[in-house]
Amino acid sequence: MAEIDNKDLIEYLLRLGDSTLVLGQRLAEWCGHAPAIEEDIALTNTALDLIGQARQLLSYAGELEGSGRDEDALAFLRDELEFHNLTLTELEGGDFGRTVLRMLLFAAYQVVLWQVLLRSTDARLAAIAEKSLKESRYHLRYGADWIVRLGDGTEESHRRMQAALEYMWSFTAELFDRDEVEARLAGVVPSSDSLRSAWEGIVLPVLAAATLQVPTVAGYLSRGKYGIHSEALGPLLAEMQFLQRAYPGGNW
Amino acid sequence: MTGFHDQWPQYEVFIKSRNGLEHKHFSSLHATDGQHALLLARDVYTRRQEGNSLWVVAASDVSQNGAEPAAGRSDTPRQFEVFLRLKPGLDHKHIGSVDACDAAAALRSAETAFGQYPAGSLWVLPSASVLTSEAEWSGPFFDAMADKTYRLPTFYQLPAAVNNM
Amino acid sequence: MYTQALDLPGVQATDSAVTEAPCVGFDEKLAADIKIEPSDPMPDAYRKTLIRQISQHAHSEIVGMLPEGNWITRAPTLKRKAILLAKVQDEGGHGLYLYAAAETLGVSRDTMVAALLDGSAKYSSIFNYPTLSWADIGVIGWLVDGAAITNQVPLCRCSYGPYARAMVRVCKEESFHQRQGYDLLVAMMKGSAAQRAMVQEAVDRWWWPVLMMFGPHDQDSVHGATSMKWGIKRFSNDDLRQKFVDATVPQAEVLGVTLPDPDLKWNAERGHYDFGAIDWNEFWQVVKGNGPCNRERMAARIKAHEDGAWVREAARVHAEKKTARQAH
Repeated sequence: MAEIDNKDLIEYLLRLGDSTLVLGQRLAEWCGHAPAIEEDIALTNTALDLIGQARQLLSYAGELEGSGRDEDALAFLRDELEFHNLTLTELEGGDFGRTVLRMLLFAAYQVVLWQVLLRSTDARLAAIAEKSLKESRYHLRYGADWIVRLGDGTEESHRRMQAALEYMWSFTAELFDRDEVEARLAGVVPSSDSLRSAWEGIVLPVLAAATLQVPTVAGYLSRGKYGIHSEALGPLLAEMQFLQRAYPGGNW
Repeated sequence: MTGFHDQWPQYEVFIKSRNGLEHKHFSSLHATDGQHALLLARDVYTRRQEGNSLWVVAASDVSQNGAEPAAGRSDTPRQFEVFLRLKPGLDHKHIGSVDACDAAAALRSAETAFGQYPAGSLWVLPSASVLTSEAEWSGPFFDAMADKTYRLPTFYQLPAAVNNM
Repeated sequence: MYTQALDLPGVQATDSAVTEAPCVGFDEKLAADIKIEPSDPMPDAYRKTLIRQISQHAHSEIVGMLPEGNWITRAPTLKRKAILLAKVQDEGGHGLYLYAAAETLGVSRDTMVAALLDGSAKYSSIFNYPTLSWADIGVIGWLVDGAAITNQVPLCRCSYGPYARAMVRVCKEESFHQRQGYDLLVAMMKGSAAQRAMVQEAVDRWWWPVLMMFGPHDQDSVHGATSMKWGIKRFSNDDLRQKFVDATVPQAEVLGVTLPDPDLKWNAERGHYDFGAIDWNEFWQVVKGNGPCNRERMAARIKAHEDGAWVREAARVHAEKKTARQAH
């Protein structure tokens, strides 16, 4: 097998790590504000899992880079254009319905991805995948249950979920868009377009059980993982990075 | 204000600790149904790997000695799980099962099988009403908590003079 | 987290245990230190006192998520973010354990939540103070949780079984809360001058409100004596406050901060630290709803409850549909 370029692997790790970090940050916004205490605690468990995954992925990226940047330097001292998260993860949370819908869409993607990365020729990435797969399977089950409850609940909840789906759906195309970075990493990582059918195999039956209509308009192809974001990411980072930016070199 | 009287039904949660032999009553929570209760029990009550097996049951399905038993009678005997509080201050622990046509008969059978206990010490609940965490989901349910060591006091090494905090 | 005496002055504690018909075995159990369990006979006033105390304790945990929650999205490292999230989540868990313990006394969670949101139930005043810097997160862990632990450890031996068992679980988890706070402050004190100043400023702001967490002086505490008799409370407010001050002063020295009280000094004769007078006027103002964040805290709880109404309703309706389908 051809030698892979660390720069490609770093780029790929940032896509995964930034996605889990940014979604973890979005979920963390719920802490103390959820519809029931039990759900508050459940959402926070997911946020903690995602932040934990981000720490592993960013640490690995920093080590490969070899210029002394650790997980925090990468999380707190990069600007918007240097973030490689999926646009889906950065969108403003909105209501609980939108939050659990995104959890379903993203967790299904993660489950499918980790299952392939389990067999990655990169042992460290495979180990991260093995640990993360357990977490993502749980997020998927939790999210899917909620989508069915809310989609097939009251008229209001159905309307809200359909609206959430219309809003979020167009951002899912980005999940399966592939580029030359992935191509050069063949064997180490899967090609994103190869994940789509497995993902649909998980997501579509849940949406059907929830009596939701899958939008037919393909829409705009978002490009967050290539560093071109929505306007939602900037304020998220400004808030998240405030202390590190205001007190450079601080000891925390 | 809306939504003041909209709590979900109450479920009792039982956990088998990693080294424990039987399921022990832990506490309760509110959920829409048993499956939901099972997931929430995992999220609420096993944040520090408190156990590796969960049982949940609707609180309305629990009958205790000395109180009005839960309704529901079958023509043929069905299985009830029996929980005992050995003495005041302790949690109810699973001690076995009995067959009976209703909760009142199950409580009588339990007393015959396991001895006479003060009011409130024995619980019986229909086995069919119990939802259990599936073995094949053990990883997603319980392993995710393993690496969250920052939840433990030992994670923090404080200056020696105050390390007993 | 918890404060002992939340009741407004002038409200007389009802001691109906004296007039009520005796409950079989109740006094004997108390005398023998045998736990009272939900199905045991108990005086109505005992039940009411427990419901009030446990539900206020639960409300305090839930409202207590808000001041620290204010910094989750701004935590300076990923490790600190995870720690803070886990900690605030624990407060939610504690609220839930306590609501569940109160429910064993025959009160519904709906009823308790309604009392919080309509303002008739109290919660710990400390959570009506704002969190203004990252150092507040450390100081809350060290001092506020430290005070809470001092208050709560005796409750693990409380006479009511479900409350005692809930408190054992709470106390076990609180230990991490205090340690992470102190650990955070130690890190900041090793940092820049600006960081050290931030820590001192936070200590200055929180010290007196924390001392108020133990409630009024014993002679002004309306429920003290009855609660002691019933084994719901084991030590007086002043005793616990003293215990806390004695434990905290050396910790402040190790940390390298000054506690903002010129009267604070060791009294060799008493074997305790003396400390200055507490501003009880401020305490009662905050209890009565006029603290710096009372309105914001209530507004946040009401908003979460109202925003969640459609979710709770839809989930209930879906469960009903599912049951109906299974019946067919």
